Amino acid sequence: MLLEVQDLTVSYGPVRAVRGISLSVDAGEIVTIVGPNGAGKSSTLMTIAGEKCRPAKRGQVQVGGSILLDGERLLGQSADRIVRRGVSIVPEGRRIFATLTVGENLMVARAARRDRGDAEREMRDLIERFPALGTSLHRPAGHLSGGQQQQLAIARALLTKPRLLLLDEPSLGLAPMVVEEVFEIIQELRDSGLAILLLEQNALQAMEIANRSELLRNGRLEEIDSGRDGQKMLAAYFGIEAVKVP
Amino acid sequence: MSVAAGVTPSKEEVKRPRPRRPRGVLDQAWPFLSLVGIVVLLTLVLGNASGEIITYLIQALVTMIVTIGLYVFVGNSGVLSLGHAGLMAVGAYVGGIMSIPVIQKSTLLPALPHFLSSTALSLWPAALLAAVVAGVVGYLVSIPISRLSGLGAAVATLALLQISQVVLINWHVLSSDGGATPGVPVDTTTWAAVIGVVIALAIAYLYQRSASGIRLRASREDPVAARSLGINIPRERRRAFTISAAVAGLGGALYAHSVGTVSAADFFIATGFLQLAMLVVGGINSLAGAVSGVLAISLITDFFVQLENGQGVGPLKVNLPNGIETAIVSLLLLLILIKRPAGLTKGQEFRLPKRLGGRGALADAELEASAISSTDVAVATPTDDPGVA
Amino acid sequence: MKTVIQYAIDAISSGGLYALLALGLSMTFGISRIVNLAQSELIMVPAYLIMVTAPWAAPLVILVAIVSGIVLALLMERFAFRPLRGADETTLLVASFAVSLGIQSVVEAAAGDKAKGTDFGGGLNNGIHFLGLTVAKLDVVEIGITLVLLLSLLYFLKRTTLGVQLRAAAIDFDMAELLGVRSQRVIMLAFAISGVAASVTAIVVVAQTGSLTPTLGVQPLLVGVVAVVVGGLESLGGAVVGGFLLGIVSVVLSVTLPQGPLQYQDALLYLIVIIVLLVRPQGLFARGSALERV
Repeated sequence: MLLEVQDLTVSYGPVRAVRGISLSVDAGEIVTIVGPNGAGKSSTLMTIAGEKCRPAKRGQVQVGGSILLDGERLLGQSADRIVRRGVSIVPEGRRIFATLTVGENLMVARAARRDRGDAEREMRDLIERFPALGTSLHRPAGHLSGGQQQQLAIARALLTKPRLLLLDEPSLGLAPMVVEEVFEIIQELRDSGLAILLLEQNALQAMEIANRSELLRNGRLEEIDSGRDGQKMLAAYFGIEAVKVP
Repeated sequence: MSVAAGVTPSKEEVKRPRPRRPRGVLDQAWPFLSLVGIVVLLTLVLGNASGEIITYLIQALVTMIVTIGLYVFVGNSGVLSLGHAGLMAVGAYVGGIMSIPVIQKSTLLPALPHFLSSTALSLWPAALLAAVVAGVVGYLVSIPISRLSGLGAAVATLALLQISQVVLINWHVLSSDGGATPGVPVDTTTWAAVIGVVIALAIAYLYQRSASGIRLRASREDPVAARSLGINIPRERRRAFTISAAVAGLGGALYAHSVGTVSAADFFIATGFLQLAMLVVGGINSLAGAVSGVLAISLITDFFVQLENGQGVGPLKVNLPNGIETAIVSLLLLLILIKRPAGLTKGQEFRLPKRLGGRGALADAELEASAISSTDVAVATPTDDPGVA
Repeated sequence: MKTVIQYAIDAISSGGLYALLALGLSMTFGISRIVNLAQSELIMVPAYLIMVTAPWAAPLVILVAIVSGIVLALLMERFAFRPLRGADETTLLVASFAVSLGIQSVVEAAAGDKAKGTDFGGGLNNGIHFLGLTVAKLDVVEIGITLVLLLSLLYFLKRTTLGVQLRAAAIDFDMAELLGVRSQRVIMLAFAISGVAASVTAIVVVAQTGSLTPTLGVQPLLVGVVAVVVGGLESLGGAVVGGFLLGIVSVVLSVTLPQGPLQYQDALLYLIVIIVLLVRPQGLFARGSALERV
């Protein structure tokens, strides 16, 4: 397993947002975590990405447990070091740099890498995969539509050459057709060998493309064993016996 | 589930409202009485010391009044004001100038309107007038300021301080040559200063316990939740600011009567910084913080000033260069901000110990935690709880 | 009676200075949320060092000034601000206040609070004549220095990868970190740049006025703060524009206001700050708001 999380706990003071969850993700698979808001999904993802571990947060956040990437410890490392280890996150709300151009947004991701690689070829591959970006390289990123921004956010994360990609609610605020496109991209990425941890409120669609689905409720994780049957998935999600879908 | 007396609530219990025992008057007034007691005790102890120590004491007490005024606004609203030295100045100029003997006044301040230069008030009427005028100015200032938060308020109040300095220096009514205006009778005795402190403490304490004060503190902890409860945040801030201005003005008047001269430079950045530092070091969110911060820093600055004057302290006789005490205070402030941002008192008031029938010191962690908004925790409560259920 | 062109030169030269200062302030704010009031000491300390080293060759003096600005800025970052990373903005403001006054009092203790004089750059007060105008050499040099520095900074920010990283960090520091940008380096770079901007300001101020006090940096800093508030705390470009705007405004004010105490001009500037904060807290040029409103 590429990513191994054991007994992860995240607390804000006496409030325990994540209570001892364990999960794993391997290369070439999508694991999705679904669950209601406030259950601790984002906290989990952000902690893996290193966002919560800065001493700057000054004792307000306590993290316990272990996070291993290929056997190496991630917990406690700074976010930029975690990125260099091969973990990249597309955070909730996309968080593109609105006043920078699309090209500059991409430049940030590339510049932070140690290996310069073949810049030209990477850009060509990228534009192939995300044609919408190719035509707007010089536009301020803030002018892009929601779907295009999502593509930019993913492209940007990909430029850091991750082995593990974390996606926090990529469908948020997007039209259904656009969501489909995005999910197609995610599947392509999985097929090319990336390990993907996907957080979604859009439970059904997420569970459809996932290899494994986990339900996060009140800080605890339960695996949903549902195969690909939509009705079983819904039932599992709501914790009831069966659902009649008209 | 009842909580045995003296047992700190566990984390689960924080989430459910605890039944409260009715408390005696002593317990409720203790945060106020304890502070009065400290000040009175200190004055009694030092009352017969040398003239210089008395001067320091009066200075510290007068500064305490202004710092208490600062606390009334900053501590309850969570909004920083870097401009309170200007409000102190209003009080000092009003209280000082009104008291200058009539004979001197018209020569010293030729531009002063006749009805003002023909009357001279004694200490307390002048101080009262000063407080009222400062309060009015404070109210007017608070109209724009109450809408700002955080950085905006800090920068705006700094701007106001600058404006006040310009006005004080240049307005001919206040001083004939832009310099100092002497002639104020030096009649702030130690006990006058103590009375001033007690008045300030009383006002601050009553405000703290008032409905307005509670609402303001709620807005400090969680503005969004406060607004959803119908709290009009700017209005509460205006009230606090006005009261805090009046108290600062009182302090300013007593200050003017302790040095005999009013001079714009006394009410500028260095003074404002010192008062803020005192409040932060003591504990920005508590009245006890204002008092302890002033005492702590006054002690330290006086110690170093003694060394600078070449007089030495006890066996220690080192000649330090002038002005180094500000550097020490700055360092101390920085350390407090880094290591203990809630200040010496951790934002808590002094509580009557349980042995004497009080409820004892409340555990800080639970109260601070309960203020962090999260879906897991019930209603946010203000950090320092003066005992109103 | 100065001609319009002379006024224009004044406006550009002081505008350039304010723009530099505002850029430094905006940068450290954008990246670490600090309104660095101690920037005034980043001006004052190099100024005193210029006075001390004035007998040396001019390029050396300038080097000392700039290096000292950078070093002091980095020291501030390391010992005052790094331990406070993540603290809220008003705490950081108060901390910078403490640093500022602390350094001021140390310099005061060492050098006294009376004004000291120096003749560094005095030779530049002669005028040069061209196009029928007499322009002080100093003004030309000053405009030259500030414009060169400004333009190089802008080039750095726009065209180099490090500059783009810095701008990204100024927009969303955490996100930049999540893309692998080395946060610590970026912070130090921002502080170093503000040190350079401040020390260049010091060079100009010393050459212009020839007199130093420990509170030398306070006035320029406050104008810088005004420029940044007006131009938008979150916008580097807005800060620069705000600086130039203020240069123009201050020249206009000095012409139109009665020849009374120039201080009322300052009061007016501060009044402008308050009005802007109330009406458009994000500044005149930025998008989104950096400063909260109730």
